[in-house]
Amino acid sequence: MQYLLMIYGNEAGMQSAPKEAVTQMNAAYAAYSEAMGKAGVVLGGNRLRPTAEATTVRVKGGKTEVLDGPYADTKEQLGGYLPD
Amino acid sequence: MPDELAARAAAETVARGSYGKLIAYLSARTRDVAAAEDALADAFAAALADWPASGIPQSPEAWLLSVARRKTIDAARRRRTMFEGEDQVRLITQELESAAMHAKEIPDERLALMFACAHPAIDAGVRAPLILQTVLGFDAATIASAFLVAPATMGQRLSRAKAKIRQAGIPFRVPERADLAERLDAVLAAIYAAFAEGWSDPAGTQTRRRNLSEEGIWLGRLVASLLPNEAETLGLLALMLHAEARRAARRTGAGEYVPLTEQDPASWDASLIEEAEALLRRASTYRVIGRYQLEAAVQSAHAARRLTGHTDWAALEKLYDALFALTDSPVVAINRAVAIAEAQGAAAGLAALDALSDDTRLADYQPYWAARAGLLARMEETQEAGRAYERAIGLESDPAVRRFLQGKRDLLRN
Repeated sequence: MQYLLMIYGNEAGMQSAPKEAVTQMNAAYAAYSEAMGKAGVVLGGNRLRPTAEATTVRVKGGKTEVLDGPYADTKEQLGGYLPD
Repeated sequence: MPDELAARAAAETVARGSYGKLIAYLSARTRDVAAAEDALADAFAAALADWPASGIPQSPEAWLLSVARRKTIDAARRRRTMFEGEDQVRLITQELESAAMHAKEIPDERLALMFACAHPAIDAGVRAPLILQTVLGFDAATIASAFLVAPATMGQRLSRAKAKIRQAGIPFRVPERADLAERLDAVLAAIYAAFAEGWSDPAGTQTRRRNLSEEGIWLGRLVASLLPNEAETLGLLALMLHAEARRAARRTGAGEYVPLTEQDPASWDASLIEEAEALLRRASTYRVIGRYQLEAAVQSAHAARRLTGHTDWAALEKLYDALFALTDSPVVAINRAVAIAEAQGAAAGLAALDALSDDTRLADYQPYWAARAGLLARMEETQEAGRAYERAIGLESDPAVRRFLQGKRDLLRN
């Protein structure tokens, strides 16, 4: 079994956090990573790029959503069929 | 003067075609659509200004490239002190040089560019605008008004999308078979949306929509010629040509709205109809049904009136059934209700419309209210019909359509 550990962080919070707090947090992460590394259970790890550079792919049910179009029976008629 | 207009239109078509080809070629190499546009913008503007008077040059691409090269070098000299973007300028200048040397055999990579613009990583809403800008050279303001957003907003969205193409390394190519269907959907949807925007203003009175239906057809022809074995590309082109064939018939000489049933089939463009019919027949040989072929078949059923003198409403109802099963679209459902009303009577049509009344997307959709008003009027539900006409009139921005709806409403009072 392989697990993917994802760390959710507050990007804005991290940027405005005091330097000592960031250093302290990173030290804790480093210690944890090292422990996992020594235990031989880590396959790999990577830091993600900032969200501003992220690419998100959203496809809703594989369909695009252009609904309106050149419909003859409504727009070209407008309920005006003659009750003849 | 018609001659002048014709020269202008011919020059513009070639200029846009060459422009798109060069943008595609340069940005496929550099991945930098914005830099390619910057380099070609002045040359393209010069072509639009010069060619109608001086004639189309023998090699339009060579002409554009040599002007672009000169302007880019001039601009680089002027801001010699600016280091930012220097590499980009050098890169694009080199590409312009090498392209100019082979101007005669520049490959047409516009389709690859369209697919890059339709990549799932690009926001769905900006794909069509991006295609219009990169392939046809429309400026952000023109596109913005066609898609009903502020020019600044559209400009931002477009530049964000171009940055995305560069950063995410979106490939410039027609995708493999497995991915083609989904990506082709986005390309066709972009073309369809552009066409529909222009179609809704047949008289060309609104600058923001002018030319969009011709551009849609132009792109449709391009895609159909580059992917001639995809049934839906043929279906989309057939649908657009059918709709275009009735453009002149949809308004009187004085600019008044003429509903489809009152249009004179003799005023429809027979050669466009025949071309559309041939495309639809060819599409059907692939035995892959799709939205655009069905919509083209609806158009074809209406066009048949020029030969038979009547409209086959039962056939139209069946086509809309199939289209609704495929798309689950509320807009299709309204058209289906109208066809049901003709085939089975107003009460049946109204019942089909009532089934849609909970769909909040239709609250501001004029054709829903107009269809409802027409059917209520036929059921002699005068008061409710009047209210539905009021909604439809309030939602309409085209004065000719508004006058037509007001006339219908006034008939209720007699």
